[in-house]
Amino acid sequence: MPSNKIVLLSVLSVILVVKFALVPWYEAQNEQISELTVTTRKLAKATALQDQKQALDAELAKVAAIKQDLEKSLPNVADHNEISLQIQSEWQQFFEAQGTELKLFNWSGQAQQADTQYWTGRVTLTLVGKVHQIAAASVRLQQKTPGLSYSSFRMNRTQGLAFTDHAEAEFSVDVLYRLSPP
Amino acid sequence: MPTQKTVSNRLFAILAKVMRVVISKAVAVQRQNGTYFPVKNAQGWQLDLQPERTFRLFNIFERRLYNEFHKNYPIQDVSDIKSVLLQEFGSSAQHQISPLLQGSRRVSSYVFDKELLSSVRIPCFMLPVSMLLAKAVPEKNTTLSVAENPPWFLAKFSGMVVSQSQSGLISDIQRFRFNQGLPEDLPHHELTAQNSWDAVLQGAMKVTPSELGSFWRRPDAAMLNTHWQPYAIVTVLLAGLYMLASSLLINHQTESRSAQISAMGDELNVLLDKQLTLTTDTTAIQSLATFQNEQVLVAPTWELVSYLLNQSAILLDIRQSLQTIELRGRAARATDVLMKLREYPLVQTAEFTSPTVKVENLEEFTVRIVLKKRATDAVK
Repeated sequence: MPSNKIVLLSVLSVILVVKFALVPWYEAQNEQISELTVTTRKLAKATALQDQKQALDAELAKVAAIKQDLEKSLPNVADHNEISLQIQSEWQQFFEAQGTELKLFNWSGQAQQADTQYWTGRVTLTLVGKVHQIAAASVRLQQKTPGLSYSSFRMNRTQGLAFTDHAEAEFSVDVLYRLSPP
Repeated sequence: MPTQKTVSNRLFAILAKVMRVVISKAVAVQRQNGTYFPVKNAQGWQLDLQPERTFRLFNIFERRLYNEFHKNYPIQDVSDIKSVLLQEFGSSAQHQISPLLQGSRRVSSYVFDKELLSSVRIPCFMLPVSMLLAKAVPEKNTTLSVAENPPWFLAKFSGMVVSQSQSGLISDIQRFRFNQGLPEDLPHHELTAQNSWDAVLQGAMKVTPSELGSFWRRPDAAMLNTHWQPYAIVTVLLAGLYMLASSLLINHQTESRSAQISAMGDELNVLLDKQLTLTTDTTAIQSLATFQNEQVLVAPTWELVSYLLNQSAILLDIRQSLQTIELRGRAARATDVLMKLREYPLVQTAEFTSPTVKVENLEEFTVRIVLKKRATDAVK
């Protein structure tokens, strides 16, 4: 056989070996290595977890106690409508007791706090009454509702504001609550 | 039932037998007049002359077939030293490189007979007899004279091994010591030709793998051109073996680790559930803490309004968005109000947002106030 044919056959053989033996083996090897890496990580995590079992139990108990304590002051409802109706009714009575009138209560919507059970509802309020009564009512509302944050507030009077004057104030508040679907 | 001693005796017997086979089948002694193969008989190891020059895996070269050079090189990197040695001695030399102090290295070079080397057809170990003989001698500092033809001398001193054939200049052991700068009172041994080869074979057993590696002679290109088939077969077999072994090893490791995980069973699932709960609870607490930190209170705003009303200012419009309050009002001097606001402890910054205008003998102003975060915290 002429020598150039031998060279060509050799090159062809090498290409075929690379294509049908080395490359598939290399890919399979890589896959096996990835699987081994994942399994090794799982095992390391499992071993570490076993080693930290007692510490984990202690930490879990501590965190659960803190969470329970923080949750105590938050309203717990099954759906968003429930909280809207609940606080509208509650706040109406509260403002009346404070000598002010809840002229407008509007539940604008709600947003989830990170990836948790906690939600913040945005409420727009319009209060009518004497300025000092509005001031006292808004401060007391926040005192009795720890999960409440004032995002905006507006009040004006062309003749000038005095604590004894009658005025109208608009508030936009965020209310934090816990949603536990049944 | 065999005792521990009997078992170890048997193991030693098997090991000795294996070593005997290795020595008789894989060792050749190269001398000036031909190749000798070691043969074990009742008197010990004997060397039998073969009619043709033959090379085996381990080849021991007699002293007259090589020259010895010992030098120190101020080079730390071994590959750099090897390049220098290749330039200096060519490819017919084998080198033993050992570290010295202060980043330099000591090199013992053995330059073999070129004509003899040209007949080497296989990759093999080329072992100089002086190096092996020095291994067999238990003393750290000693000299030897070997009664071969021609006789030669060997010195082992301070970790170095030096040997020289007898010549007109080095005619006896005193002159050899003098030439090498060795003390006169070193212990000395004289060996016959037969004794020396027994000692050489004993020394060969004490060579470490790293020392052995220094004396490996690779096949050259010319040899590969004519005898490529066995190398190709060995390479393919080794590659196949590597591929198979590595895959099997990885599979075995994966299976063994998976088995370890499975063995943990339900306990692991419980722990994972607990860890997930911990993560969820921690996220929940962080979320509540974030809300508390960013919570805006209304009390400071009312406190500020009260303060301004006490400063005889008239407030027309109050707008608050988070920590920022924008106030429109009137006062006899708007700048006085701004100064008072800046002095007030709850205020971080206060500035006019539009020019003041005169209305009914009073200055009408619009001021933007940013409350201090710590002030709201203090109220909390």
